[in-house]
Amino acid sequence: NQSADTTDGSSATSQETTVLRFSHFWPATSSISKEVFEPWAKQIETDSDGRLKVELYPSAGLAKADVTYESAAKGTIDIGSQAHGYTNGRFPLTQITELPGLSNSATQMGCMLQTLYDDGTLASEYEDTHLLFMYGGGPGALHTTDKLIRTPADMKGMRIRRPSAVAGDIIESAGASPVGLPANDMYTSLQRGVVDGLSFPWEAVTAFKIDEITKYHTNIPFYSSALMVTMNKDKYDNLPDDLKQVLDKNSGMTLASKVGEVFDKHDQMAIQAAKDKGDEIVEIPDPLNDPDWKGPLERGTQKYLSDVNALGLDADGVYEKAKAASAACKV
Amino acid sequence: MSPEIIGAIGLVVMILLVVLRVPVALAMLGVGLVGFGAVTAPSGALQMLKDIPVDVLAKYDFSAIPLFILMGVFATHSGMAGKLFEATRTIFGGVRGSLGIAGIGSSGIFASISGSSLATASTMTKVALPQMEKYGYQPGFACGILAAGGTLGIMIPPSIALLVYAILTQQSVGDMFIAGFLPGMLGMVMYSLTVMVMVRWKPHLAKRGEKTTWKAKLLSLTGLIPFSFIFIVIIAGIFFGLFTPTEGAAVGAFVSWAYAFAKGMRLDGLKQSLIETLALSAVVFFMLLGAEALGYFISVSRLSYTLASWIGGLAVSPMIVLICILFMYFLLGLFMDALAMLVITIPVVYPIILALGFDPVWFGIIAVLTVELGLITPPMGMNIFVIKAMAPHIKLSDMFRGVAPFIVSDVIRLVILVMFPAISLVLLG
Amino acid sequence: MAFLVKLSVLISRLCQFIGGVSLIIIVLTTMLDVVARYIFKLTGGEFGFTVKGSVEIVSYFMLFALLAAFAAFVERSQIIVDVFTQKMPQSIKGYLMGIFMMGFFIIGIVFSWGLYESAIDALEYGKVTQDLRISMMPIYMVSAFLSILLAIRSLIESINIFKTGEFFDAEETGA
Ligand code: NA
Ligand code: NA
Repeated sequence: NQSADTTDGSSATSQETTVLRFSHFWPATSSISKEVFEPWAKQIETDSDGRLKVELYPSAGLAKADVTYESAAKGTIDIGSQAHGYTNGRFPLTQITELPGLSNSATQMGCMLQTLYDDGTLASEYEDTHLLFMYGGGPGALHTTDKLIRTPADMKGMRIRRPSAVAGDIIESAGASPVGLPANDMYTSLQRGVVDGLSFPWEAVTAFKIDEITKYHTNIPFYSSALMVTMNKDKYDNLPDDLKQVLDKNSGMTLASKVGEVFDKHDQMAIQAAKDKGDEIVEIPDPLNDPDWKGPLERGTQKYLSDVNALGLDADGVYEKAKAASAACKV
Repeated sequence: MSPEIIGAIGLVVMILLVVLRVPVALAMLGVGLVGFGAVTAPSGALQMLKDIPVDVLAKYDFSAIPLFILMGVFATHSGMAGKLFEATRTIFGGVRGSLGIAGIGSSGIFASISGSSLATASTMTKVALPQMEKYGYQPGFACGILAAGGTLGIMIPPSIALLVYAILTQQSVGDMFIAGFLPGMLGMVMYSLTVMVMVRWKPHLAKRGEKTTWKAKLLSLTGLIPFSFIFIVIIAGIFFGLFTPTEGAAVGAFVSWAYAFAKGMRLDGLKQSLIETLALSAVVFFMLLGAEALGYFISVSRLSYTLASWIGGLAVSPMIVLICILFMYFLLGLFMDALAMLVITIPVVYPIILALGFDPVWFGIIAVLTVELGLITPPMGMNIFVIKAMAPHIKLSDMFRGVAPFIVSDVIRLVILVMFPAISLVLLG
Repeated sequence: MAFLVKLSVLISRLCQFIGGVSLIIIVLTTMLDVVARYIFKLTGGEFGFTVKGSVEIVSYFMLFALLAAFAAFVERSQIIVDVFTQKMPQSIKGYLMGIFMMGFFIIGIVFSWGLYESAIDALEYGKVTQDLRISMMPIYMVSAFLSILLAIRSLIESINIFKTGEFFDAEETGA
């Protein structure tokens, strides 16, 4: 485990400064990096009178995207941000919030996650780190290259890139074939037709330049990604109380909603850009009450819940709480 | 001591160790580990080392490298590669340097299916080097040709480096790929010219092949069929969306195995081919492990970040700033992996470039070309090391000497691309 | 000593076998995936058979293949820049090589240790692969085992170099 080094031993002139290395997988030019993480780092520096310094390592600069949580737990980095879905099976309860129909916006998703963390429903999954805040992605709509998906029947025979295992279940129960593709292969695979489409938040579609290729969009809350920012436990515990307070002040629900705002704004911009480009978009805002979509989405949901139940966890109970939190967080 | 100073010391130590016969991979791992520990904490560094095997070896994107090597090994064992070069030799019979130009040309074609320079260099070396040696090419020069040819993989689309640049800078991926096409072609032409100039200037570099008759030339065309078939299968498969470029490597290995089987290769030959592939892959991936550790150390030392910020603050003319940035890329490229370098520096450099009024697509092309140069420059030229893995009997010093003319050619190409942005931008309309 | 050399050869053979089989699995999985996916497309999903988890199968067998290759060929897969030390006496070169092999011994130990810890973690936290949902535990365990073989072979080769003074010199042996 990381030894307690409250002062940064590498610098004699700034003995008072504790450097916090923050690795996340978003590109430095992404909206969340510029509009949330950078201001957050500055805020912490200001609030601590320069005694805390947050160094950002974007594009998974110090820890690979799928081991960032673990790297923070083990102390290779001090702070990390990861999507829960990248480590399958590690956060089975948290990922219940990703199920379809629970969230229609990043704000709602973030609020639901943070609520469930704060009330202790999910806390057991984060005992090896100090969680700073949860955040959610916007709803992952369906984006396709040459065929509009109106009903699950249209998905039959399609190959859809799945963003996470949970979303993969849903894609499969809708009759399409989920394909796991690394992010670097996404663009060319869509371009060449190795896959026919993907399920992704709008903001990410523009960030990864996928909008250059997709022409059809089904605006359905197919799944939403859960993400977190977390900190090495020893590093946090060994800080003096006033610095702990600085971090406490800059975490939790406030940050969750800040990310939500940024993502929702960029999702709206991306939808507008697609409309301006002349793309075809169908809206299915409430799929769980849609006669066509209800069946497959509920099947996918049930499959995931029974898998988690089988682990001896109270999946159904958490799902009910998530529904309640979702309703309370509705914007 | 500031992290940046630790970073700089680390790189100097790295050179010293390599010069003192420490295996390159071990030196990179060692310096990466100790440096990372010096900047952060020893426990963090140890954890970093523990995580490295899964980080690097279970990386799906990298699977193309051993599989393309396997494809090359099958091609060699089945005699396909020999036929290909026999045909090329006959067709160009009597033209000095023809095999070298054929090597550059094949690398360029291969680059259009592979997004990676290492995959291009390893495959082409496996196929072409034995033939070039057999037909009287000076070994170091032959390696130089193939190392330079390998760098085409990063510029001729598809290219992982251009894709990453596009995502980092919010440029269109399509535009970046289109913009890379002519500079990549220019590279092929200039490398070929370099081969021609060198063999005229120093005739001992390559023996002139015997003159051949037109009838022989025509007949030899059949030798092109097996290898072209595999190329076409892969290119068509990728183009029509049957598989991804990464999967294309496995398809290529399978198809060339099928050919070898038809030519009589049985269990023994298969076993030999697999063992050879493992041995070659071990060399390449030992080095990739090292590059990962060293990369983390350079990241955490903030060396490149600080350097880039410092250049941005210089009060000099835009052209000088641009030259400084390119020079920085060149220096970092001596040690660092191309992608890691782009990811760390582009967020700092890109706003500077925009503020100075340079075209972002054009800058992406020249930045990637400069980064690409790092693959063939000493002391840490990844392409050269990969070729060394394929041809351990040739001295590294000879290889670096052999590639020198191509480095000069690349520098000239860089100057041309900087002076005439139209070459990169004209196809964008 | 003769026993150790025999053991080293045996481990190398075992690793060549594991690595070779892994490569074959990677190629066949990808081929099957590509063909099945194409048929799935052609039949509009009527023929509903696609290979699940090919990305992770390829990734983890790559991990096995390469760790096995490291263990099998560690002493002969090192690139050494010889530009400045060509005149160095063979005995010193050998001595140095023996020391460097100890470096790989340590690296093998650290890799194995980390992978073993990951295996325990995977078990504790129920980590599974993305598509096939196989526990990550055995994957890490096999990797830890292959890394320990790397450590053992590096150690034996190191001892052997110190005893005999003979080491693998690529430029002399030829390819
Ligand atoms: Na390419
Ligand atoms: Na270099």
